Amino acid sequence: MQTLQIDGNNARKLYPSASAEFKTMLEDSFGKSFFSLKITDRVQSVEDALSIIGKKLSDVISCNDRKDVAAYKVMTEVIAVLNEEWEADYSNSNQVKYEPRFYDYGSRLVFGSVNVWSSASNVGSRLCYRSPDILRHGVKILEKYYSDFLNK
Amino acid sequence: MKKFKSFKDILAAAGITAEQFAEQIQNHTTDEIGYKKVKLIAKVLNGKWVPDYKDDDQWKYEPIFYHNGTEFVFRDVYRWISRSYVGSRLCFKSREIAEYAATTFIAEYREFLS
Repeated sequence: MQTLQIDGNNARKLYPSASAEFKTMLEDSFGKSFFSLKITDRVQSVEDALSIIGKKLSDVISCNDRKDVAAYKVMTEVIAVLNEEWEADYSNSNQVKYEPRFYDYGSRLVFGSVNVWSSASNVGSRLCYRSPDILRHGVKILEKYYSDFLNK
Repeated sequence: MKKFKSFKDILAAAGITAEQFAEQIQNHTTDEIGYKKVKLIAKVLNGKWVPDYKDDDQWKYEPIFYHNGTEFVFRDVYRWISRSYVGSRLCFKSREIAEYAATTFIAEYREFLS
């Protein structure tokens, strides 16, 4: 007899298209609530986000990267995970994109508000979010990286 | 303002050779390369000017782009004193320079934004 081993990340990928019988097997193994967790529950840190795509921080940044470049790389990876299957499509003016706006707070730029766009952008497709809630979650767990990216 | 026709001119003004820049962007994705280019463009065009978000009298200018269905094109310049979308490395010291950067180096901005 052969044994099939599936880790949590792969189980989540398989679950939506699994047959009813296989879904039951997955739920028995991982627990039903495992498959109902939202991305914002599953990702509480940069490390959580990277682990979903099978990466570690050292896979994303190199020691030669300046802090803003390293931050940019980490932010784009984490935001892609938080956005899940969603991708910004600027040719689609019906698709709303959310970008954070930062305010000066004691000489440092920190998150201040959410801006809504359909076909305009300051920062491009990799730094926008699919919803305001996910944006707020993203800027919270990426606080250090936004600071490194925005502030000198 | 000194005019630059291409990113090669920006590299020359920054004292960086094409070979050195190619080395800097090894293993980078297109948007990461675009970010580095746009950052260098802002640095060269701003000269000695440094954005200071503590300074309530200093305006900072940021270009904004819109997608016309095919590609990003320059739309306008926003000016802020103590707010930003892009941070200290990608803002400009004047509206004129922000607009000049966003139109002259639109190819580099597209690499970053797309």
